[in-house]
Amino acid sequence: MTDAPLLELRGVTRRYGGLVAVNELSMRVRRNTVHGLIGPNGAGKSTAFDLISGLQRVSGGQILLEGRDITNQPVEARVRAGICRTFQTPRLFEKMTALEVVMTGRHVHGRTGMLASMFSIGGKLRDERDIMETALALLDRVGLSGEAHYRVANLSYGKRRLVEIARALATEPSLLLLDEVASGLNPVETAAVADLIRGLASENLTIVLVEHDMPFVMGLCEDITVLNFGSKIAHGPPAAISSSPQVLEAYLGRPNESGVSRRDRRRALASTGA
Amino acid sequence: MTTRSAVARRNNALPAPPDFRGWAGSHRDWLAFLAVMAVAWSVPLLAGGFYLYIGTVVAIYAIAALGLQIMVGLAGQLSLGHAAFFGVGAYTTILLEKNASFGFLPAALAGALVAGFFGLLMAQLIRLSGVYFKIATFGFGIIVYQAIANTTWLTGGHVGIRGIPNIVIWGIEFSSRRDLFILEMIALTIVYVLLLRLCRGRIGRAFLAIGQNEDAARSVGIPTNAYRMAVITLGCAIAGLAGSFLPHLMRFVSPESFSWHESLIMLIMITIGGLGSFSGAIIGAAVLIIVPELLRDLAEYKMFAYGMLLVLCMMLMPAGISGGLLNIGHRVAGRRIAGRRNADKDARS
Amino acid sequence: MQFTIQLISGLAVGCIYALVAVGFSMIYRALGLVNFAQGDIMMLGAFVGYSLFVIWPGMPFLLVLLLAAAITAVAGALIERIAFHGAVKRGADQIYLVLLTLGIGMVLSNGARLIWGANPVVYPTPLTHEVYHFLGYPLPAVYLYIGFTMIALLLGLQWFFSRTWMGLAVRAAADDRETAATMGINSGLAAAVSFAIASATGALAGVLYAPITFASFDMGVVGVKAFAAAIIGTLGSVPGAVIGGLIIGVGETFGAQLISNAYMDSIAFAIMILILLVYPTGLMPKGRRL
Repeated sequence: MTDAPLLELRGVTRRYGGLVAVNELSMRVRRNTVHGLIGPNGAGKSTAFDLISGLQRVSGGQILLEGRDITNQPVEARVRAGICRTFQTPRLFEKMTALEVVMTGRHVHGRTGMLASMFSIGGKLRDERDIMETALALLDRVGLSGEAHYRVANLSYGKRRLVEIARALATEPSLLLLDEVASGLNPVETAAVADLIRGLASENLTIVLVEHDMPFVMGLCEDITVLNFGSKIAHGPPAAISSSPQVLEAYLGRPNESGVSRRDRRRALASTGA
Repeated sequence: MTTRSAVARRNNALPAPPDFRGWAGSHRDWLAFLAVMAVAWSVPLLAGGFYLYIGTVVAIYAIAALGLQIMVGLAGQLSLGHAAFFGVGAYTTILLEKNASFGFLPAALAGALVAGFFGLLMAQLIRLSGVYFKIATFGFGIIVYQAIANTTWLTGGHVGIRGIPNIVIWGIEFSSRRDLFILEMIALTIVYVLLLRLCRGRIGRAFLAIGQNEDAARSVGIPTNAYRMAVITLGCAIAGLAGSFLPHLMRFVSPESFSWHESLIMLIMITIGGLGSFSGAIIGAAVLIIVPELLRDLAEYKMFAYGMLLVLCMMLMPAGISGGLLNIGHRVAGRRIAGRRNADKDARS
Repeated sequence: MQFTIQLISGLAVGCIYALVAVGFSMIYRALGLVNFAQGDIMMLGAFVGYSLFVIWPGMPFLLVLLLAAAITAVAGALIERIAFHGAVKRGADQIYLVLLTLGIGMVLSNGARLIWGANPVVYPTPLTHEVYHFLGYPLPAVYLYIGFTMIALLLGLQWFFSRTWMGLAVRAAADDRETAATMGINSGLAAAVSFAIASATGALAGVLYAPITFASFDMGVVGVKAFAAAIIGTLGSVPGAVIGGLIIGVGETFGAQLISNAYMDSIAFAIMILILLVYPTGLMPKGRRL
């Protein structure tokens, strides 16, 4: 088991004209960990995800996956390399059933091309059966085995989230990026997702979470990177982060201005919503 | 690996819950295929005479409509110039047959390839977003149409080309109406089967994904640009193939059959039949060809009626005819498993 | 001399395209809708003008222009209410909306054919052959009306969108429907007004074009080239639509000289595709407002 990071960002920057959304971000995500990426609104967390997953191009810096430079690779190539990401609002294929949506996630691992689809019989059927079985198993994994044949448009928000996670898992990623996976979920659903993530992390998967829900993050992550105004302001285990003055300042402002005691501020940070 | 362990876990778990849609549900597409093909084959053959002619026309346009359907209904790439590729196929085939003594099969194949090539050319415009792409396809259609209509030395211009040779394949001549109908239906059946197979698989799913949410498709690794180009090329090639038959039926070819109006009619075909449905494309083609024949006397009102039909369909029945039939089918099937988890039925597709 | 005559003629036609394109862009801005019936609305306006002339011979051209615009505006608002409102509201697929507008266009053009007949009609007004002479160049009187209308329209729209409550409401509803609703802006009304204005500009185009040639039920094809104009000028931008219209008008006139008259329609779209290859979203810079 090597200590080399699975994902490394070196001085990654994203500029829009004069606005700097991500500023010289350097971070390392260790294998088989759950890594949190937090920060106040507008800190650049989702942009960072876009850059890692390939949805946006970096203006500067490097991104390395398992030591390989993937900075200029398109989204498709990164998925094949093992990065997959979910979105803040689940982006699903509305007219498909949950099963079909998860099956699309198997695309990069399918073997049947256009001609084979049309002309081959045995090989294609085998491929299809494999895809369907894997998809069903994944829906099971996230707890949606009963909803496999439901149209995703008719599923509740929480379940749509789970379908998206299952679809991401179908690509067999080594790195899973979860964008505000707990947002919009009730406490029961949130706990279920937390359990799911813990389970996934124990199975050889590296996970990066962008999140606002503090107890969720503190409870799950081994490593946390904090962003503010596009720059990294802190990095470390949960205990260090929750007592870091820079982090407190980023979320709550300078102590002298608000006139609130340090202990109260820590408490405020630890409670839900930041 | 997560997925392998998940599969293992599942195999050791309780037996799978029953598939509510049943056998009929998951094989819906093939049932529709059988139903539509049965009617399409039998009615003209039994009724003979004029009906054979109409049946052949329907079959030709049905093939073109299928090509448009995979582009528009499945992959969401709206092309407003489809008839142009229909025309490219027709002219390529005829010119090769007449001027270069090609046999029908190679000429038709060439027609499909050339149309596909032009489709690939048009597909280069996909880097234009949404609306811009649609209007670019429209413009492309007009340019191709005018090119066909104005290169008089090659295509005879608006006068068209007459003296179409009979279809000869491997020594067998297809000259009677019946022969043409059978040949055409064989082509339609083959195309329909191949497309159905294509779409009930990985690639077809990818097309559907692109059509429903392109960003999401990209995010699971589907190479959207390549696939969009592929589906457009394929759809146009199919139109070209369909076009190669038309002159042999009509005994002449002229640009009028490939104008922008014709593109619009093809769009109406796949829409009232039901966007995304292959059987719907064929039903739509049948409706738009048969109904005007029946209402010959009211030819004046034909285009007006088409327009009203399209508008009403879009406003009231966006799922088209096949969608309507599907709803009926669900209601019938629903009654059979009524009482068993009724609440689920409402949530089901 | 020939060059200048061509140029003026190209500009005049370009203004016609611009008028239709402006309406097209407005509807796209306000409803997110690609209105393929825009050309047929122009045709409708042309015929309404014709009917006005028939009913009241000798009516001053300016009055016909304004009345036709007003009547067509009402028709446009009705069409929006009946056909588009529901579909846009429930967020129907782009493809459905496109087909819906195509269908409406067909209904309009074929309905016109049934009402006014299949033969092109000439406006019964001396304006069709009135020609002034300016610095030795012949200048059809209609061209003056065209130029005047363009300027008045542009100024009017500018004033409308930045100075009137309704104009601001339309812009707000176009940018963010829901938020606008919370501010008390009735998005349905804004949509209807946008459509009405767009229909009015289309009608102006029709009434101004008819004296140059004639009015016929398939005039809508002329409007189709206006789409290329709106695209060239970036969809949604009024100044862009004008620039696009002029480019197409002039380009077409000279192109027809150089290549062949038969390819006139192709030239408009060829220009459009060429420009799009370099500027994928049209000539106007991104984010450019009204």
